[in-house]
Amino acid sequence: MPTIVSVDDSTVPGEGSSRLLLLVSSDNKHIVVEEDIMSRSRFISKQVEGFEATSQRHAILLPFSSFVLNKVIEYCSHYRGYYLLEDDPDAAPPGRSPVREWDQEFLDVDRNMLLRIIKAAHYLEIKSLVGSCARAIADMIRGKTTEEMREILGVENDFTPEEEHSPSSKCTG
Amino acid sequence: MRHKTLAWNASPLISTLPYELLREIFLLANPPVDRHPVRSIVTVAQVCRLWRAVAHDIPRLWTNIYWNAQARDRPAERARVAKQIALSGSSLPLRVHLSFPLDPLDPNYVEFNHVDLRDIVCLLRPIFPRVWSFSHQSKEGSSVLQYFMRLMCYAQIKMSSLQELVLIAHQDHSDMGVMLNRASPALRHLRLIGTKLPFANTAITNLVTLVLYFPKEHLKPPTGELRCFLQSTADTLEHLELQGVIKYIPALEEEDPSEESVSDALEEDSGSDTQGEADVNSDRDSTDEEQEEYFGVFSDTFDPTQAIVFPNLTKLHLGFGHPVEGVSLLKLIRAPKIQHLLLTDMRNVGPHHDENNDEALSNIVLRYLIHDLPLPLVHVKHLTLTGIHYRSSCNLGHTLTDSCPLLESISVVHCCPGFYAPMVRDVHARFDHSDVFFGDHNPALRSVHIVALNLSIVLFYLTHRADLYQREMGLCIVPLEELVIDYEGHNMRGRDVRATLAPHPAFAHAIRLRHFEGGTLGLGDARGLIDLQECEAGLLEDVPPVDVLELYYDTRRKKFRRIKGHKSGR
Repeated sequence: MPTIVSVDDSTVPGEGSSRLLLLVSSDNKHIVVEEDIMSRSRFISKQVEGFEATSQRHAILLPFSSFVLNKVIEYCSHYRGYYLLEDDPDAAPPGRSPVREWDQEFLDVDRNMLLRIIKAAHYLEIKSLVGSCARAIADMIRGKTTEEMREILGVENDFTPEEEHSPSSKCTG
Repeated sequence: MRHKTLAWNASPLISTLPYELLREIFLLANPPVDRHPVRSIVTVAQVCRLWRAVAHDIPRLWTNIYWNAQARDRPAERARVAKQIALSGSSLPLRVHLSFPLDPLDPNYVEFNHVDLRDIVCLLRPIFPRVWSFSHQSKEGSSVLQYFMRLMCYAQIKMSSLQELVLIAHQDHSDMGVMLNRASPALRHLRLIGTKLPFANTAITNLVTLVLYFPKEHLKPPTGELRCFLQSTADTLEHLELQGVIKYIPALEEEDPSEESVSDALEEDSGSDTQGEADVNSDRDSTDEEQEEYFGVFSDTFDPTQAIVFPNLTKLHLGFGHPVEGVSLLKLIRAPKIQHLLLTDMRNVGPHHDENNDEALSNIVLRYLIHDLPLPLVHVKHLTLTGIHYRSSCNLGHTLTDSCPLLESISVVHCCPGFYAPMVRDVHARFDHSDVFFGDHNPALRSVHIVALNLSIVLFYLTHRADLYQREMGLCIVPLEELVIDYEGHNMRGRDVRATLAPHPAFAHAIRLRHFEGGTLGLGDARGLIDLQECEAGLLEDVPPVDVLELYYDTRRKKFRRIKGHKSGR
């Protein structure tokens, strides 16, 4: 569970249909966003349900930078009001499908940013964004050699020489 | 929380991805039916300790052996990778795909043939009982498959779990029937591309899917043998695809004296503007005569009185190299439950097709289908017509779709001059219902996919007729969920192709244009979702209005992309 700090209601107006949430990034940036936009996040939705149960509004501290958080908010804003099968907890898991065109452009970022976005999406439980990022990363490694995969994703080779030459064996320790 | 945040910032980033994310990525990189997956899960397992641990925890990743003789790997590397998968300890069913595109004239071919193949057989022998899908592809003229099968026979290998067999070999494999009969009792799906089997001696019961495609004349089986084979599979078959299965003797066609008279008769027929019952009947009569003449050009054809009944067939794809062959195939098959019907005139597929060939015969397949009703069309939900040339004013195409009251989707591919644009000289002239492609005879129709060159004609008819019908006749036209127009194979560069993408709103909520390149595209007052993926245009005539969604033109990449800030919706 993330740390929750109490905030003044005047800081986070919550009246009417466009209630606002205060999100605090790991670099201590305060970002106000409409609750409706972030409703795609199961994590945020659960937090909001908690607020309603206690009748107290809080800021939500998140363990990633404002740069990453803003990207996630951009994604959620784009699909605001959209039905995406992946985000429907009651729907059957969708089949394999290509990355949506807008998502392709949205995820046209460097490797580290892509990895940060997928981790943030995973943390926030936004399945559609996790799926798009995972497909983008899968596309990056498909058809590549071991060395190429390491280079593309910045993976360090931590095998002992013996382990490296017996790929079928599971590593211990 | 602090601990979690510290872990979050740890480096390198990829190493901090949760287990379930890595698992999802690996699964996506190894789709079960993709022919070009990650080169092998073994490659993934060699990246680092974490990846290896995750990979080994997903047994189904270790179920694909993909052996491509021309891959970048060295043969020893290929064998090592295949061996790792074979010995991975998983007991799940295996899919094996072997690809040997080597040319027999290649100096490495002989060595490959004898060493590599023997290695494969030795490798696969202990695991063949686990193989549920086996596909083999080799170059035309190659004897790799024959050699491979002999090795398997010598090794007395049985594929007791084999459910799917795909052979793309362009070879006569007369010795394979025994293997299929004896060693593959579980076989349900058989796809033979250019691979001739001894059909007379092959009896496979319980087949669900059968695909036979013979692009080479000399590999086509005798019709009698084929008929016996089909008869043996009829009870259980659900999906049947027959393409180019009847031998054709062109020499007889040249001597056929009736061709000219038949052509003349049909030209007269198509020149008339008649729409009534009497004309329909006369069409049928002339077609029957014409068919009788043309049946002579085939070695033998099917007797319609001995048609085979396929009680469970729901999907039928017939491909023919001549319209009469198409009629002949239709005479062979009786399928009371057909839901998905595909007809392909193979001469008209691909970039080199001749739009003017066999004009006189271009309608006979549709006519036979509609008037003689070899197949009940009332259950058809999906209709795909490829290369079916259509030249007449009596709207056979529309009659065909009107005969399918449950039609949900239609795909019209290279049907020249356009399934949507019958040769009506004056569009303001008399209209009756059959002029409108999707009237209330197709209340379930939701998707139309067109691959055509002349978008202008298609859209003109769509918009103009819809407007007329709504305004003048008060007909309710069921809107489509989407209209897809695909220009694949046609580059319009250098041509004066102009299109205004402004269909009547009654027709489609979404228009998806594909492969439009080099032409001039105007958006007019188009509304709704305009999806132009894979399109390229030299000039965008009009500035997209606000209502045009999902679109912008990227001048740097010269591609249409989505307008930022706009969202599609209905």
